[in-house]
Amino acid sequence: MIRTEHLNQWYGNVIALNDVTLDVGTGITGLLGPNGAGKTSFMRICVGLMRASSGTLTVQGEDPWRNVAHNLRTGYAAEHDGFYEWMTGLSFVTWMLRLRGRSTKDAIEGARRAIERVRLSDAMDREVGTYSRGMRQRLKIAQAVAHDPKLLFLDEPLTGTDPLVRVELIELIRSFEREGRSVIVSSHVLHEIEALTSSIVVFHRGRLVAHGHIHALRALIDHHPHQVRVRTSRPRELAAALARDESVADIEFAGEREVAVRTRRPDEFYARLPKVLLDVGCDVEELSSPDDNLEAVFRYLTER
Amino acid sequence: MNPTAVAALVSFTAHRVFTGKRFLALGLLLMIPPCLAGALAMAARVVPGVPFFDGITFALSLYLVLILSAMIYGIGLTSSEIEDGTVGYVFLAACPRWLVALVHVVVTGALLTVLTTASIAATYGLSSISPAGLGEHGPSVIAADALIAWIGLTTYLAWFVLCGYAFKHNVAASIASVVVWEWIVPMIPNRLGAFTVIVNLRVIWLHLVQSGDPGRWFRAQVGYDLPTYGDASMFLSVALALFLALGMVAAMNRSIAGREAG
Repeated sequence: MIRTEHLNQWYGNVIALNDVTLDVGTGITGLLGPNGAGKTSFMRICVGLMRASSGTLTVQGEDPWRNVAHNLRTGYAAEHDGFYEWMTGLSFVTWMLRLRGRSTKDAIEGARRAIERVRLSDAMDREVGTYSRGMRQRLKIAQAVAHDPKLLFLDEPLTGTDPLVRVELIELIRSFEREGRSVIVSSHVLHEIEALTSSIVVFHRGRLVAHGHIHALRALIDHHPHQVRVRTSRPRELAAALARDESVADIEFAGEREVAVRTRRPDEFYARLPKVLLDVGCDVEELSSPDDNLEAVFRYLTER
Repeated sequence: MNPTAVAALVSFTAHRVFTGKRFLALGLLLMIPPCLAGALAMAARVVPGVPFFDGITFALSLYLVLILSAMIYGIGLTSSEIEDGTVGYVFLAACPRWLVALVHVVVTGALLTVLTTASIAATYGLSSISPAGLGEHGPSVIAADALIAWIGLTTYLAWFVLCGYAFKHNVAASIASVVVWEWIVPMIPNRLGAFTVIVNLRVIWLHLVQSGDPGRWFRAQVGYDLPTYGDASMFLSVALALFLALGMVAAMNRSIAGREAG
């Protein structure tokens, strides 16, 4: 659906995208990376607002730059909060639909549907300038989806929203996928992406550092020690026993009652751990593996 | 090209002229000449015999007000929208970018001309309170002034749109270029003045309103010969066409990075 080859984007001396070669399929794909990683630049190039400095890009088989037909097949909700503040929510979405070639009647109907979809109907006759951050995020999504595009680009759609709105927006974005749309959604908050999809693209300082399913990413970093934390009443005895295990790379104490173990062979380690615990005769208050969540993968990938 | 989208773009551009703080600022600007004319007319009843309509039109309506109006809308509808990111909504519409720039200049220019002409007509009406206020002009002078306003507004708008899309620091480029080239250069006796829009507009004005006589209106520009009417017409035509064409090309090639690009 999106294919890039050696894509580069420069702002003067600053590299926003550095030799990005990528193939993104259908469904929800999360763009992950800290602020300044290149996510927004990538999205803006994909929607046709920016032209890449060099390299090639096709979205749904076409170059999006100056491609009016592409505009009609894609929807884009920018991260920035730029609106025509004096418009009402309804008139804003209506104008956006009219600018995409809908008749006034169709545009009003389509705008009402889209606003209802993002649950903003109660406020649709208010000026956008009076909207809260969450309402503005919903409105951006409404204008992005109103013309029924097959491909949606949502740049940081959950930023600044409260937990309740966040849950609703996550469900809304998932519903787009169920309707057969593909969604590219960016975030610098790891659990947001994790809640939306397991298909991720990780950017850091303009470079593509990882791409694929979260489990595939985990395989990519096999040489990265997997960390397991065991909270127990007898940490010293447990550490001594684990030190003799060949699958353990190193051990350290993480607090008075916690042992942090790094292993390069997590499968072997998990298979042996119950026996070690039994041999030592220690209770286990908590067993956790920070590396199992996206945060650890992300941290490792961006710091290596 | 989708005709419904083009019609919507025209309508949207017109809609934006009449809304927001820009329109308030324009309204205040356009009220200055008639208010001044009204005040002078009242004073002229006491001290009769001073024609002032031409002076107000020449020095205010077709100079200060005209340039500032074009600046407010030219910068506001390009540079400001690039800065706040709203231009992205228009650029992702079903119209090519060059058309967005063209419609912006043509529609905004036409509407500003109508509003400026209304201001000039009001100035004319209030000037007529004093019998001498109009000089020897009949109402047809309003049409001549409207034509000059249209040429001037459209040319300046085209320039501001070009600056907006072509330059990174577009607001600074827009303001600096006009302040230096259109306000300072014509005031200094040198040949460059003949290559400014405002001097050529004034030549057209002198031809249409004053039969080509510079008289007292060009006392400040004694250091160079004024262009002829033909040269001024040619200069303004070329300038408008050039600014418009380059503005459309710049719009086609403008990347909208946004403030949060990264």
